[in-house]
Amino acid sequence: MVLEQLGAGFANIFTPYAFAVFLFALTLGMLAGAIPGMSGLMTVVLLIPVTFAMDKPTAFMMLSVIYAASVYGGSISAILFRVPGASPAVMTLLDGYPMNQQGKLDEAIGTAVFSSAFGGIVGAVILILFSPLLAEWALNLSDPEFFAVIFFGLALVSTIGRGSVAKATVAMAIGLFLGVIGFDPLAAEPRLTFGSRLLLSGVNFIPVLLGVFAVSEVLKQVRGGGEMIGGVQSTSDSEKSLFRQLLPPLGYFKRFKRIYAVNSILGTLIGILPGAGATAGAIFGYTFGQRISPKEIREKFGTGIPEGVASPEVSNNAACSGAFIPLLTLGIPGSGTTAVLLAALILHGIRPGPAMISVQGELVYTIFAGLLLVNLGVLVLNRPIVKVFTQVRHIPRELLFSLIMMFIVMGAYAARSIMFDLWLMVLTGVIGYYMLIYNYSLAALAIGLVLGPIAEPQFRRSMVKATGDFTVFIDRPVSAVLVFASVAVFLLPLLEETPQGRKVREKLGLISPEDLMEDTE
Amino acid sequence: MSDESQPDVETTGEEDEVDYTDPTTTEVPDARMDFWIAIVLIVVSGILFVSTGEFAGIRTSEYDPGAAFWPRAILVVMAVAGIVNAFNIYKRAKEDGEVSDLFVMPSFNVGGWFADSGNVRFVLVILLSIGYLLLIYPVGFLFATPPFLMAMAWTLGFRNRPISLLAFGVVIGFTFHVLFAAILNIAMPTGTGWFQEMTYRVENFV
Repeated sequence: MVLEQLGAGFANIFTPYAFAVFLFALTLGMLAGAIPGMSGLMTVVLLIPVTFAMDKPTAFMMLSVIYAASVYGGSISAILFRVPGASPAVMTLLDGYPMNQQGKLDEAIGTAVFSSAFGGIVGAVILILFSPLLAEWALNLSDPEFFAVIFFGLALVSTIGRGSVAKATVAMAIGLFLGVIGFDPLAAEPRLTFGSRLLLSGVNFIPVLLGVFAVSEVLKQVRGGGEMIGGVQSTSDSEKSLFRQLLPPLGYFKRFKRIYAVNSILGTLIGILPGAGATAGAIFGYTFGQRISPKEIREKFGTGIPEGVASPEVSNNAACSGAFIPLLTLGIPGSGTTAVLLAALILHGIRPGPAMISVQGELVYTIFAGLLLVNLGVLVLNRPIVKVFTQVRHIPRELLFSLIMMFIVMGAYAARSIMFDLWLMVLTGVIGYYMLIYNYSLAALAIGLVLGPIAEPQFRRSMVKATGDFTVFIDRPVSAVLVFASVAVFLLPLLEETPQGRKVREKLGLISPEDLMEDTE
Repeated sequence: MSDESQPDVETTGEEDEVDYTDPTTTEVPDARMDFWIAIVLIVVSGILFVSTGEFAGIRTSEYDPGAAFWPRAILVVMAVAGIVNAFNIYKRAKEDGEVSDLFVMPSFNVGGWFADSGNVRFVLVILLSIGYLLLIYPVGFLFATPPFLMAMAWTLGFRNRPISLLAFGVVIGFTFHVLFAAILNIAMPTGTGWFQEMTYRVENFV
């Protein structure tokens, strides 16, 4: 059954139009990931208006492929120019760029692309095999359990609040609050519209997401100044070396078998966690890869070794596929970009959830097929893309940012064709920039904005059916487990930072004695 | 944090070594501003909490928590998280011996801030974007976009090739309007009066 539907998904892609869209998405995703200032998330948001002109399976295949390809694409500029094109590549530059400087550019790029493909395929296979099972289980969920699932998703933003759970919570609360503006979902009465008719229909996802992610990124790049690309430029000798072979010999990859085995599963599991995403996958992957490597290799992480490239690249692409599991089966985004995809699905009148696989099987399995194919596609297109990228980067930065701003304006207007959305986009862009530099998580805001309007009606319907009894959320075992797990998961990062918590982490080998001692001094 | 002998500044215009937008960093440009942002968010939470009283009585049934329950819960979470955040900032400042600076409201040294060309570009890009939006409604996307693109590129430093700049603005603006409006059927602002008429003529011609 799964194989049949997957076959149908592949058949959808292998039509002239859909395949052209796939190739377009693959190329655009890799370029978007590679070009600093753009990102897969920004590109997905910008292309949402275009999806209204397409059939839904092709449209969402396109967006998914862009996301997956951009996660790999970020490693290109990370390795070539020490600039992560996308945030999931932030760990790749630690070893990828030194390898480039040591004249091992082809080895670094080859390791990155093969590791990305491997991680992405494993993640996609897990997605395909386990999503139907999870969806079947989820069909038995009632309102309280559904709310508990979303509550769990919101609680997990504490894991993405790097360095400050409090700030991530504030950001999430801001997103949740923006989702409240407009008509009350049950009573259809205006709330927090301050007499403005423009706010009656609420705050649209698209201009807010474009603002906080895309405009803030442009402002960050503009304010940063200087050259977008620093360090060693690609020389003609390096380019010849790079294109001498598509990939290193397959025997070369045996050295990574432990990293591939562990990090591909780990990355997928991290991607499943709502709020984590490919960047968290990369960070966990790098540190775990270091931990499971032999001592003589572990000590060289950060100096330019291929294990330092393979570890994060396997994990971030696996996490990318993993993020689709909660999105498609439970309607909970696994990352910032899947939060945007959720918004896109809702805009198209599709509500992801347990019934999605059975009701929207064609769309879901076309996405699955796309996610499998994209990881093969990056292997094939890697060399020409890198070659094109080295030319595209010659587009003056000034023109590039002007173009991006134009695209942002077009994307924001296309959502509802009202000027208010454009003003909202600029305002949230400036706010998003300051949130960025003051470490308020934008992904948490996006998750709150998208999940809030889903959570509230579930909560209130649960209360009405339970005649006002709050214990309805802990009466059923599933919701009880999820509610308590939510509390535990939310508090865990806070407890980890207490002296006792750090001692426990040291015993588990998650922190070195030297780090523990530094903290207790 | 600023030395007492130095004037209060938000930034001195000097490039910091830390990239505050790096996802792996937890540092912020100005701890005092960080603290006051936290305070403002707490105050805003309180103000909005009061404003939810307008619709507190709206409910669909006896057992419905009501229209105000969810936003109030969110605002309580925001306020509590904000207080924890402010406390964390205070704790860090105490460890650094800079607590007294925290409670002085940040002042803004306009001259110092604008001495940094990055800040100037930042403001100009925002102003250009606002100008673009003000223009786009009466003039339409087709006519507003080329000057915006040219002005933006010029502001960011593309100044040596005026002909290329002109071509860039005109060609890109025209191409993407046609692509979105005429081919993809995604509505773009058409402007008013003469501008609207010209925009429709271009779209119909294509």
